[in-house]
Amino acid sequence: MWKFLWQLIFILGMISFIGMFLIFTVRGYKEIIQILRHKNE
Amino acid sequence: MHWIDITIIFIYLALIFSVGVIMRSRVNNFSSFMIAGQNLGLSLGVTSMLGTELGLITVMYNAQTGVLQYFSAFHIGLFGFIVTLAVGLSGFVVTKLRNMNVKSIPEFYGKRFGQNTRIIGAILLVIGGMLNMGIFLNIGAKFIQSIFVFESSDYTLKLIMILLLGMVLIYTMMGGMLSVIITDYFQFIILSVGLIFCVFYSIYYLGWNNIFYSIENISKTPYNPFLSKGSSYVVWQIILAFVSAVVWPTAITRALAMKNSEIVKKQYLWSSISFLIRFMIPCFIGICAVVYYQDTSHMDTLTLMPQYLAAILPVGLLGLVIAGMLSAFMSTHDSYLLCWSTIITNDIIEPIYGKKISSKNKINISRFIIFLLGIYILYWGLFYEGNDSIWSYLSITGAIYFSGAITVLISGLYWHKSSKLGAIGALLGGLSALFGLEPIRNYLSIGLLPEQIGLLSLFFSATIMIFGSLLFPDREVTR
Repeated sequence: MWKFLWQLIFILGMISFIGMFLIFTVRGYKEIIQILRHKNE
Repeated sequence: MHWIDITIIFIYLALIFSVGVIMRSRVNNFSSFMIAGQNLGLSLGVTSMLGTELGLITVMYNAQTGVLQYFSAFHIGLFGFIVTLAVGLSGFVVTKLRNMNVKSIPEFYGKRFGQNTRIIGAILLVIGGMLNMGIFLNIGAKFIQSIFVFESSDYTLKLIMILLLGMVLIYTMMGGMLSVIITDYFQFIILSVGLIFCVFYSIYYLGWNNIFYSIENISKTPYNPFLSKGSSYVVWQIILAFVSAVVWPTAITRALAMKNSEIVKKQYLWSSISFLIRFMIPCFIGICAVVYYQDTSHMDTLTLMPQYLAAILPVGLLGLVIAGMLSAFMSTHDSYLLCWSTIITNDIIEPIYGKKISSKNKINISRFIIFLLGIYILYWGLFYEGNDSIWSYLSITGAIYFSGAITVLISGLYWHKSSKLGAIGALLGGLSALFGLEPIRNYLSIGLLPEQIGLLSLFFSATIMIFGSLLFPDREVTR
Protein backbone atom coordinates (compact mmCIF):
# COMPACT_ATOMS: atom_id res chain seq x y z
CA MET A 1 0.00 0.00 0.00
CA TRP A 2 2.79 2.46 0.96
CA LYS A 3 4.61 1.77 -2.31
CA PHE A 4 1.50 2.47 -4.38
CA LEU A 5 0.77 5.63 -2.33
CA TRP A 6 4.26 7.07 -2.93
CA GLN A 7 4.19 6.19 -6.63
CA LEU A 8 0.80 7.86 -7.04
CA ILE A 9 1.82 10.98 -5.12
CA PHE A 10 5.08 11.22 -7.04
CA ILE A 11 3.40 11.01 -10.46
CA LEU A 12 0.57 13.42 -9.53
CA GLY A 13 3.08 15.77 -7.91
CA MET A 14 5.24 15.86 -11.04
CA ILE A 15 2.25 16.52 -13.31
CA SER A 16 1.02 19.33 -11.02
CA PHE A 17 4.50 20.81 -10.81
CA ILE A 18 4.96 20.87 -14.58
CA GLY A 19 1.56 22.56 -14.97
CA MET A 20 2.40 25.07 -12.26
CA PHE A 21 5.78 25.74 -13.86
CA LEU A 22 4.18 26.55 -17.23
CA ILE A 23 1.47 28.79 -15.75
CA PHE A 24 3.69 30.84 -13.44
CA THR A 25 6.56 31.22 -15.88
CA VAL A 26 4.23 33.14 -18.21
CA ARG A 27 2.26 35.03 -15.53
CA GLY A 28 5.39 35.85 -13.52
CA TYR A 29 7.04 37.37 -16.58
CA LYS A 30 4.01 39.61 -17.12
CA GLU A 31 4.08 40.73 -13.48
CA ILE A 32 7.79 41.58 -13.67
CA ILE A 33 7.19 43.71 -16.76
CA GLN A 34 4.34 45.48 -14.92
CA ILE A 35 6.56 46.16 -11.90
CA LEU A 36 9.39 47.52 -14.04
CA ARG A 37 6.98 49.78 -16.01
CA HIS A 38 5.34 50.99 -12.81
CA LYS A 39 8.74 51.80 -11.26
CA ASN A 40 9.84 53.65 -14.37
CA GLU A 41 6.79 55.93 -14.34
CA MET B 1 33.64 19.40 -16.99
CA HIS B 2 32.89 20.42 -20.58
CA TRP B 3 33.37 24.07 -21.68
CA ILE B 4 29.70 24.28 -22.71
CA ASP B 5 28.64 23.55 -19.11
CA ILE B 6 31.09 26.12 -17.73
CA THR B 7 29.84 28.77 -20.22
CA ILE B 8 26.21 28.17 -19.20
CA ILE B 9 27.15 28.56 -15.52
CA PHE B 10 29.05 31.83 -16.08
CA ILE B 11 26.34 33.38 -18.28
CA TYR B 12 23.70 32.55 -15.73
CA LEU B 13 25.66 33.91 -12.77
CA ALA B 14 26.37 37.12 -14.72
CA LEU B 15 22.63 37.49 -15.41
CA ILE B 16 21.74 37.13 -11.74
CA PHE B 17 24.42 39.63 -10.69
CA SER B 18 23.10 42.12 -13.25
CA VAL B 19 19.59 41.88 -11.80
CA GLY B 20 20.99 42.60 -8.33
CA VAL B 21 22.80 45.70 -9.61
CA ILE B 22 19.87 47.00 -11.70
CA MET B 23 17.32 46.61 -8.93
CA ARG B 24 19.45 48.48 -6.41
CA SER B 25 18.41 51.81 -7.89
CA ARG B 26 14.73 50.90 -7.43
CA VAL B 27 14.91 50.52 -3.67
CA ASN B 28 13.60 53.82 -2.35
CA ASN B 29 12.49 53.06 1.22
CA PHE B 30 12.86 50.42 3.96
CA SER B 31 9.47 48.85 3.22
CA SER B 32 10.43 48.22 -0.40
CA PHE B 33 13.83 46.90 0.79
CA MET B 34 12.25 44.51 3.31
CA ILE B 35 8.91 43.42 1.82
CA ALA B 36 8.75 44.98 -1.67
CA GLY B 37 6.26 47.65 -0.49
CA GLN B 38 3.59 44.94 0.18
CA ASN B 39 2.64 45.14 -3.48
CA LEU B 40 3.32 41.68 -4.90
CA GLY B 41 0.91 39.84 -7.19
CA LEU B 42 0.09 36.13 -7.03
CA SER B 43 2.52 34.84 -9.66
CA LEU B 44 5.67 36.42 -8.27
CA GLY B 45 4.52 35.50 -4.78
CA VAL B 46 4.31 31.84 -5.78
CA THR B 47 7.60 31.78 -7.73
CA SER B 48 9.36 33.61 -4.91
CA MET B 49 8.03 31.20 -2.29
CA LEU B 50 9.37 28.27 -4.29
CA GLY B 51 12.61 30.11 -5.13
CA THR B 52 13.34 30.70 -1.46
CA GLU B 53 12.15 27.40 -0.06
CA LEU B 54 13.76 25.27 -2.76
CA GLY B 55 17.37 26.31 -2.30
CA LEU B 56 20.56 24.35 -2.78
CA ILE B 57 20.56 23.49 0.91
CA THR B 58 17.01 22.11 0.61
CA VAL B 59 18.01 20.01 -2.38
CA MET B 60 21.09 18.71 -0.56
CA TYR B 61 19.45 17.78 2.75
CA ASN B 62 16.38 16.29 1.09
CA ALA B 63 18.58 14.20 -1.20
CA GLN B 64 20.43 13.06 1.94
CA THR B 65 17.08 12.23 3.56
CA GLY B 66 16.22 10.16 0.46
CA VAL B 67 19.59 8.38 0.69
CA LEU B 68 19.01 7.55 4.38
CA GLN B 69 15.26 6.86 4.45
CA TYR B 70 14.45 5.91 0.83
CA PHE B 71 10.80 6.32 -0.25
CA SER B 72 9.53 6.51 3.33
CA ALA B 73 10.95 10.07 3.37
CA PHE B 74 8.16 11.08 0.97
CA HIS B 75 5.88 11.49 4.00
CA ILE B 76 7.73 14.76 4.78
CA GLY B 77 6.67 16.20 1.40
CA LEU B 78 3.14 14.85 1.78
CA PHE B 79 2.74 16.62 5.14
CA GLY B 80 4.18 19.79 3.61
CA PHE B 81 1.53 19.60 0.89
CA ILE B 82 -1.41 18.87 3.21
CA VAL B 83 -0.51 21.50 5.79
CA THR B 84 0.15 24.26 3.21
CA LEU B 85 -3.08 23.38 1.38
CA ALA B 86 -5.00 23.58 4.66
CA VAL B 87 -3.47 26.99 5.41
CA GLY B 88 -4.39 28.14 1.89
CA LEU B 89 -7.99 26.98 2.25
CA SER B 90 -8.54 28.34 5.75
CA GLY B 91 -6.16 31.32 5.82
CA PHE B 92 -5.11 30.12 9.28
CA VAL B 93 -2.64 32.63 10.84
CA VAL B 94 -1.46 34.09 7.50
CA THR B 95 -4.53 36.16 6.60
CA LYS B 96 -4.82 37.64 10.10
CA LEU B 97 -1.14 38.55 10.06
CA ARG B 98 -1.39 40.12 6.60
CA ASN B 99 -4.47 42.11 7.61
CA MET B 100 -2.53 43.58 10.55
CA ASN B 101 -0.09 45.11 8.03
CA VAL B 102 2.97 43.99 10.00
CA LYS B 103 6.32 43.49 8.29
CA SER B 104 7.49 40.57 10.46
CA ILE B 105 6.39 38.20 13.24
CA PRO B 106 8.29 40.14 15.96
CA GLU B 107 6.43 43.27 14.84
CA PHE B 108 3.22 41.35 15.55
CA TYR B 109 4.56 40.46 19.04
CA GLY B 110 5.12 44.19 19.55
CA LYS B 111 1.55 45.09 18.56
CA ARG B 112 0.00 42.31 20.61
CA PHE B 113 2.28 41.95 23.65
CA GLY B 114 4.41 45.12 23.78
CA GLN B 115 7.88 46.19 22.72
CA ASN B 116 9.82 44.00 25.20
CA THR B 117 8.22 40.85 23.78
CA ARG B 118 9.01 42.12 20.29
CA ILE B 119 12.71 42.54 21.12
CA ILE B 120 13.02 39.19 22.95
CA GLY B 121 11.15 37.42 20.13
CA ALA B 122 13.37 39.00 17.51
CA ILE B 123 16.57 38.09 19.41
CA LEU B 124 15.47 34.44 19.71
CA LEU B 125 14.46 34.41 16.06
CA VAL B 126 17.89 35.70 15.10
CA ILE B 127 19.70 33.15 17.33
CA GLY B 128 17.71 30.21 15.90
CA GLY B 129 17.94 31.52 12.35
CA MET B 130 21.66 32.22 12.48
CA LEU B 131 22.49 28.81 13.95
CA ASN B 132 20.25 27.38 11.23
CA MET B 133 21.88 29.11 8.30
CA GLY B 134 25.36 28.69 9.77
CA ILE B 135 25.88 25.42 7.93
CA PHE B 136 24.49 26.60 4.58
CA LEU B 137 27.87 27.72 3.30
CA ASN B 138 29.55 24.47 4.27
CA ILE B 139 26.90 22.43 2.46
CA GLY B 140 27.04 24.67 -0.63
CA ALA B 141 30.80 24.24 -0.77
CA LYS B 142 30.46 20.46 -0.48
CA PHE B 143 28.04 20.47 -3.41
CA ILE B 144 30.45 22.45 -5.60
CA GLN B 145 33.40 20.33 -4.51
CA SER B 146 31.57 17.09 -5.33
CA ILE B 147 29.99 18.10 -8.63
CA PHE B 148 33.15 19.71 -10.01
CA VAL B 149 35.15 16.74 -8.63
CA PHE B 150 37.66 18.91 -6.72
CA GLU B 151 40.13 17.37 -4.31
CA SER B 152 38.50 16.72 -0.96
CA SER B 153 41.07 18.64 1.06
CA ASP B 154 40.06 21.11 3.77
CA TYR B 155 41.94 23.88 1.97
CA THR B 156 39.79 23.56 -1.17
CA LEU B 157 36.59 23.52 0.86
CA LYS B 158 37.58 26.69 2.76
CA LEU B 159 38.54 28.48 -0.45
CA ILE B 160 35.20 27.58 -2.07
CA MET B 161 33.35 28.78 1.03
CA ILE B 162 35.07 32.17 0.93
CA LEU B 163 34.43 32.60 -2.80
CA LEU B 164 30.75 31.64 -2.51
CA LEU B 165 30.24 33.92 0.45
CA GLY B 166 31.90 36.86 -1.31
CA MET B 167 29.57 36.41 -4.29
CA VAL B 168 26.47 36.22 -2.13
CA LEU B 169 27.39 39.20 0.04
CA ILE B 170 28.10 41.54 -2.86
CA TYR B 171 24.90 40.50 -4.56
CA THR B 172 22.66 40.67 -1.47
CA MET B 173 23.88 44.05 -0.27
CA MET B 174 23.11 45.53 -3.70
CA GLY B 175 19.39 44.82 -3.93
CA GLY B 176 16.46 44.51 -1.52
CA MET B 177 13.33 42.39 -1.66
CA LEU B 178 12.45 43.47 -5.22
CA SER B 179 15.78 42.18 -6.43
CA VAL B 180 15.31 38.96 -4.46
CA ILE B 181 11.81 38.46 -5.89
CA ILE B 182 13.01 38.86 -9.48
CA THR B 183 16.05 36.62 -9.06
CA ASP B 184 13.73 34.10 -7.39
CA TYR B 185 11.70 34.13 -10.60
CA PHE B 186 14.75 33.26 -12.72
CA GLN B 187 15.73 30.64 -10.19
CA PHE B 188 12.22 29.18 -10.35
CA ILE B 189 12.59 28.68 -14.11
CA ILE B 190 16.15 27.34 -14.22
CA LEU B 191 15.87 25.12 -11.18
CA SER B 192 12.47 23.76 -12.21
CA VAL B 193 13.72 22.87 -15.69
CA GLY B 194 16.89 21.35 -14.20
CA LEU B 195 15.04 19.26 -11.63
CA ILE B 196 12.37 18.06 -14.05
CA PHE B 197 15.09 16.96 -16.49
CA CYS B 198 17.03 15.28 -13.66
CA VAL B 199 13.98 13.25 -12.68
CA PHE B 200 13.10 12.14 -16.22
CA TYR B 201 16.72 11.44 -17.14
CA SER B 202 17.20 9.38 -13.96
CA ILE B 203 14.09 7.34 -14.74
CA TYR B 204 15.28 6.88 -18.35
CA TYR B 205 18.80 5.98 -17.19
CA LEU B 206 17.95 3.63 -14.30
CA GLY B 207 14.46 2.39 -15.24
CA TRP B 208 11.27 3.10 -13.22
CA ASN B 209 10.73 -0.47 -11.96
CA ASN B 210 14.44 -1.04 -11.39
CA ILE B 211 14.59 1.93 -8.99
CA PHE B 212 11.94 0.36 -6.76
CA TYR B 213 13.27 -3.23 -7.01
CA SER B 214 16.81 -2.10 -6.20
CA ILE B 215 15.72 -0.19 -3.11
CA GLU B 216 13.62 -3.16 -1.97
CA ASN B 217 16.80 -5.28 -2.16
CA ILE B 218 18.81 -2.73 -0.17
CA SER B 219 16.29 -1.98 2.62
CA LYS B 220 13.65 -4.02 4.44
CA THR B 221 11.54 -0.94 5.26
CA PRO B 222 11.88 1.41 2.28
CA TYR B 223 8.27 2.67 2.23
CA ASN B 224 6.67 2.80 5.68
CA PRO B 225 7.88 5.85 7.67
CA PHE B 226 6.45 4.51 10.95
CA LEU B 227 8.69 1.44 10.64
CA SER B 228 11.80 3.21 9.32
CA LYS B 229 11.79 6.27 11.60
CA GLY B 230 9.15 5.81 14.32
CA SER B 231 6.02 7.73 15.23
CA SER B 232 7.71 10.60 17.13
CA TYR B 233 9.68 11.45 13.99
CA VAL B 234 6.52 11.39 11.84
CA VAL B 235 4.63 13.66 14.27
CA TRP B 236 7.64 16.00 14.37
CA GLN B 237 7.44 16.29 10.56
CA ILE B 238 3.84 17.58 10.77
CA ILE B 239 5.02 20.33 13.13
CA LEU B 240 7.91 21.13 10.79
CA ALA B 241 5.55 21.28 7.81
CA PHE B 242 3.50 23.97 9.57
CA VAL B 243 6.63 25.81 10.62
CA SER B 244 8.13 25.75 7.11
CA ALA B 245 4.97 27.15 5.57
CA VAL B 246 3.75 29.62 8.17
CA VAL B 247 6.13 30.38 11.02
CA TRP B 248 9.53 30.39 9.33
CA PRO B 249 10.48 34.06 8.71
CA THR B 250 11.50 33.69 5.07
CA ALA B 251 8.16 32.06 4.19
CA ILE B 252 5.96 34.44 6.16
CA THR B 253 7.85 37.43 4.73
CA ARG B 254 6.66 36.28 1.30
CA ALA B 255 3.07 36.21 2.56
CA LEU B 256 3.40 39.65 4.17
CA ALA B 257 4.73 41.07 0.90
CA MET B 258 1.52 40.23 -0.99
CA LYS B 259 -1.08 42.81 -2.02
CA ASN B 260 -3.89 41.51 0.23
CA SER B 261 -5.00 38.53 2.32
CA GLU B 262 -7.08 36.93 -0.48
CA ILE B 263 -3.97 36.71 -2.65
CA VAL B 264 -2.07 35.29 0.35
CA LYS B 265 -4.57 32.40 0.51
CA LYS B 266 -4.20 31.74 -3.23
CA GLN B 267 -0.42 31.92 -2.81
CA TYR B 268 -0.56 29.16 -0.20
CA LEU B 269 -2.95 27.03 -2.27
CA TRP B 270 -0.49 27.02 -5.19
CA SER B 271 2.55 26.78 -2.93
CA SER B 272 1.24 23.49 -1.52
CA ILE B 273 2.57 21.92 -4.74
CA SER B 274 5.90 23.66 -4.14
CA PHE B 275 6.09 22.29 -0.60
CA LEU B 276 5.40 18.79 -1.95
CA ILE B 277 7.98 18.76 -4.69
CA ARG B 278 10.71 20.62 -2.77
CA PHE B 279 10.98 17.44 -0.67
CA MET B 280 9.96 14.78 -3.13
CA ILE B 281 12.14 15.55 -6.16
CA PRO B 282 15.47 15.86 -4.28
CA CYS B 283 14.53 12.76 -2.23
CA PHE B 284 13.90 10.88 -5.45
CA ILE B 285 17.23 11.96 -6.93
CA GLY B 286 18.95 10.87 -3.69
CA ILE B 287 17.25 7.48 -3.99
CA CYS B 288 18.41 7.23 -7.63
CA ALA B 289 21.96 7.93 -6.43
CA VAL B 290 21.70 4.97 -4.05
CA VAL B 291 20.42 2.76 -6.89
CA TYR B 292 23.27 3.94 -9.13
CA TYR B 293 26.07 3.29 -6.61
CA GLN B 294 24.38 0.33 -4.83
CA ASP B 295 26.94 0.04 -2.02
CA THR B 296 26.98 3.48 -0.35
CA SER B 297 28.26 2.43 3.08
CA HIS B 298 31.69 4.00 2.51
CA MET B 299 30.34 7.19 0.87
CA ASP B 300 29.30 10.56 2.33
CA THR B 301 25.48 10.59 2.23
CA LEU B 302 25.46 14.35 1.75
CA THR B 303 27.62 14.41 -1.38
CA LEU B 304 26.12 11.30 -2.98
CA MET B 305 23.55 13.27 -5.01
CA PRO B 306 26.00 15.76 -6.65
CA GLN B 307 28.43 12.91 -7.39
CA TYR B 308 25.62 10.98 -9.04
CA LEU B 309 24.52 13.98 -11.13
CA ALA B 310 28.11 14.64 -12.26
CA ALA B 311 28.36 10.97 -13.30
CA ILE B 312 25.17 10.62 -15.33
CA LEU B 313 24.09 13.99 -16.75
CA PRO B 314 25.05 14.77 -20.36
CA VAL B 315 26.90 17.92 -21.48
CA GLY B 316 24.70 21.02 -21.38
CA LEU B 317 22.19 19.57 -18.97
CA LEU B 318 24.86 19.32 -16.25
CA GLY B 319 25.72 23.01 -16.75
CA LEU B 320 22.05 23.93 -16.56
CA VAL B 321 21.55 21.96 -13.35
CA ILE B 322 24.68 23.44 -11.71
CA ALA B 323 23.62 26.96 -12.76
CA GLY B 324 20.20 26.31 -11.22
CA MET B 325 21.74 24.96 -8.01
CA LEU B 326 24.20 27.87 -7.72
CA SER B 327 21.43 30.36 -8.26
CA ALA B 328 19.38 28.46 -5.66
CA PHE B 329 22.31 28.79 -3.30
CA MET B 330 22.57 32.53 -3.90
CA SER B 331 18.85 33.14 -3.79
CA THR B 332 18.35 31.30 -0.50
CA HIS B 333 21.27 33.16 1.03
CA ASP B 334 20.12 36.56 -0.10
CA SER B 335 16.61 35.86 1.17
CA TYR B 336 17.90 34.68 4.54
CA LEU B 337 20.47 37.47 4.89
CA LEU B 338 17.87 40.06 3.93
CA CYS B 339 15.24 38.60 6.24
CA TRP B 340 17.48 38.37 9.32
CA SER B 341 19.25 41.69 8.79
CA THR B 342 16.00 43.61 8.32
CA ILE B 343 14.46 41.93 11.38
CA ILE B 344 17.52 42.92 13.46
CA THR B 345 17.16 46.49 12.21
CA ASN B 346 13.36 46.73 12.38
CA ASP B 347 12.61 44.69 15.50
CA ILE B 348 15.72 44.98 17.69
CA ILE B 349 17.74 48.10 16.88
CA GLU B 350 14.88 50.54 16.24
CA PRO B 351 12.79 49.57 19.33
CA ILE B 352 15.92 49.67 21.57
CA TYR B 353 16.96 53.02 20.05
CA GLY B 354 13.50 54.32 20.94
CA LYS B 355 13.18 56.77 18.04
CA LYS B 356 12.15 56.35 14.42
CA ILE B 357 15.15 55.71 12.19
CA SER B 358 14.95 57.06 8.65
CA SER B 359 14.44 54.56 5.78
CA LYS B 360 17.82 55.37 4.29
CA ASN B 361 19.63 54.73 7.57
CA LYS B 362 17.69 51.52 8.16
CA ILE B 363 18.72 50.23 4.73
CA ASN B 364 22.36 51.11 5.43
CA ILE B 365 22.25 49.47 8.87
CA SER B 366 20.71 46.35 7.29
CA ARG B 367 23.48 46.25 4.68
CA PHE B 368 26.13 46.49 7.38
CA ILE B 369 24.44 43.67 9.32
CA ILE B 370 24.39 41.55 6.15
CA PHE B 371 28.17 41.98 6.03
CA LEU B 372 28.54 40.99 9.72
CA LEU B 373 26.26 37.98 9.20
CA GLY B 374 28.52 36.96 6.31
CA ILE B 375 31.55 36.90 8.61
CA TYR B 376 29.61 34.85 11.14
CA ILE B 377 28.46 32.36 8.48
CA LEU B 378 32.05 31.84 7.38
CA TYR B 379 33.17 31.26 10.97
CA TRP B 380 30.34 28.84 11.77
CA GLY B 381 30.78 26.99 8.46
CA LEU B 382 34.37 26.27 9.42
CA PHE B 383 33.64 25.58 13.09
CA TYR B 384 30.60 23.26 13.44
CA GLU B 385 31.55 19.56 13.75
CA GLY B 386 28.24 17.76 14.43
CA ASN B 387 27.35 14.54 12.60
CA ASP B 388 23.54 14.77 12.73
CA SER B 389 21.78 14.57 9.37
CA ILE B 390 21.37 18.09 7.97
CA TRP B 391 17.59 17.92 8.24
CA SER B 392 17.82 17.04 11.96
CA TYR B 393 20.29 19.88 12.55
CA LEU B 394 18.11 22.42 10.73
CA SER B 395 14.94 21.34 12.49
CA ILE B 396 16.44 21.46 15.97
CA THR B 397 18.19 24.82 15.54
CA GLY B 398 15.00 26.20 14.00
CA ALA B 399 13.09 24.85 17.01
CA ILE B 400 14.93 27.32 19.28
CA TYR B 401 12.86 29.99 17.57
CA PHE B 402 9.72 28.25 16.41
CA SER B 403 8.84 26.25 19.58
CA GLY B 404 8.01 29.54 21.24
CA ALA B 405 6.91 31.33 18.07
CA ILE B 406 4.16 28.81 17.16
CA THR B 407 2.63 29.09 20.61
CA VAL B 408 2.87 32.88 20.87
CA LEU B 409 1.68 33.43 17.30
CA ILE B 410 -1.38 31.18 17.50
CA SER B 411 -2.39 32.17 21.02
CA GLY B 412 -1.74 35.86 20.27
CA LEU B 413 -4.05 35.71 17.25
CA TYR B 414 -6.76 33.38 18.53
CA TRP B 415 -6.74 33.42 22.38
CA HIS B 416 -7.67 36.74 23.94
CA LYS B 417 -6.46 35.69 27.40
CA SER B 418 -2.86 35.20 26.27
CA SER B 419 -0.68 37.60 28.21
CA LYS B 420 2.66 39.34 27.84
CA LEU B 421 4.36 37.33 30.60
CA GLY B 422 3.05 34.07 29.17
CA ALA B 423 4.39 35.08 25.75
CA ILE B 424 7.85 36.00 27.04
CA GLY B 425 8.03 32.75 29.05
CA ALA B 426 6.95 30.70 26.02
CA LEU B 427 9.51 32.37 23.77
CA LEU B 428 12.31 31.73 26.28
CA GLY B 429 11.03 28.16 26.75
CA GLY B 430 11.91 27.56 23.10
CA LEU B 431 15.58 27.79 24.08
CA SER B 432 15.17 24.29 25.59
CA ALA B 433 15.41 23.00 22.00
CA LEU B 434 19.17 23.69 22.28
CA PHE B 435 19.41 20.36 24.15
CA GLY B 436 18.63 18.67 20.84
CA LEU B 437 21.89 19.77 19.22
CA GLU B 438 24.26 16.85 18.86
CA PRO B 439 27.31 18.36 20.63
CA ILE B 440 25.12 19.37 23.62
CA ARG B 441 23.34 15.99 23.66
CA ASN B 442 26.67 14.20 23.73
CA TYR B 443 28.14 16.52 26.37
CA LEU B 444 25.17 16.04 28.71
CA SER B 445 24.70 12.35 27.73
CA ILE B 446 21.02 12.87 26.83
CA GLY B 447 19.54 9.65 25.46
CA LEU B 448 16.62 11.24 23.59
CA LEU B 449 16.40 11.67 19.82
CA PRO B 450 16.44 15.24 18.34
CA GLU B 451 12.79 14.99 17.28
CA GLN B 452 11.74 13.87 20.78
CA ILE B 453 13.57 16.84 22.32
CA GLY B 454 11.93 19.14 19.72
CA LEU B 455 8.44 17.87 20.62
CA LEU B 456 9.16 18.21 24.35
CA SER B 457 10.41 21.75 23.78
CA LEU B 458 7.22 22.66 21.91
CA PHE B 459 5.07 21.15 24.68
CA PHE B 460 7.14 23.02 27.29
CA SER B 461 6.64 26.38 25.53
CA ALA B 462 2.89 25.81 25.10
CA THR B 463 2.54 24.88 28.79
CA ILE B 464 4.37 28.05 29.87
CA MET B 465 2.14 30.12 27.58
CA ILE B 466 -1.08 28.68 28.98
CA PHE B 467 -0.16 28.74 32.68
CA GLY B 468 1.77 32.02 32.39
CA SER B 469 -1.24 33.72 30.80
CA LEU B 470 -3.72 32.31 33.31
CA LEU B 471 -1.57 33.07 36.36
CA PHE B 472 -0.25 36.45 35.19
CA PRO B 473 -2.93 38.02 32.96
CA ASP B 474 -2.40 41.43 31.37
CA ARG B 475 -4.07 44.28 33.22
CA GLU B 476 -5.48 45.63 30.00
CA VAL B 477 -6.38 43.04 27.37
CA THR B 478 -5.26 44.06 23.88
CA ARG B 479 -7.64 42.78 21.24
